[in-house]
Amino acid sequence: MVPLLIVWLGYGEREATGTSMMAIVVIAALAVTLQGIYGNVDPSNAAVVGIPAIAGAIAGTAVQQRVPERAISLLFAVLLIVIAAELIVP
Amino acid sequence: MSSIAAALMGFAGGMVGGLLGVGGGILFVPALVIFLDESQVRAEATSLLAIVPVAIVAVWRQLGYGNVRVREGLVIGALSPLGVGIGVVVANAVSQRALELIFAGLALVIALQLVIRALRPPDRPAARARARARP
Repeated sequence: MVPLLIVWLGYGEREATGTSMMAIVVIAALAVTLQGIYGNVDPSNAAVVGIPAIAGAIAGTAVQQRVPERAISLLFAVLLIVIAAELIVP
Repeated sequence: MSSIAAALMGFAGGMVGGLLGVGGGILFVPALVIFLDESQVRAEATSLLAIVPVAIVAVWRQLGYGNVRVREGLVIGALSPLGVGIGVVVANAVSQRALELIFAGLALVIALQLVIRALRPPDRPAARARARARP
């Protein structure tokens, strides 16, 4: 979502990540509701991972304001290459 | 001990999420599978529950920094079930391996576009687009 907002729609990097997060709130809330109905969600494990992650997100967004926007693009490119490698290696 | 490892990976996932505008599931799912003994399917579901508060807090911070186009984000989120529907149809039409390779190719093309864009001298199709978007 973030790279498409940047490359296709001309968003600035920070704006793309913030707007992507807005969409993720909606998407994750819908999806977790469905998964909850199927009984696949473990709330206590979600808390173990998610509560520290909230602190991580505050740190991550703060750091993001202090790095050049093109660094965000380059980091995202690295993330995509890692994902592609994971998919290609069987 | 393994809860501490999962919590540390959760923190790292939140950090990557906040930095790059992703949910953090890329680290939450392996944390849940490796350290908290969840199956892949359950881990993906549990990861979604962790993503919700992370994304809400990240949006709250980014609103403060002036980096959220709220209406467009909501529209993208609301349209996503449509994308899921198309994805399911495509996923059933081609083999798992073909799907992996198609997705990998797409990821590499987009990565290349991001690199080209980032390495370009700071001139300005993107800046112009931003100027257009903010009257």
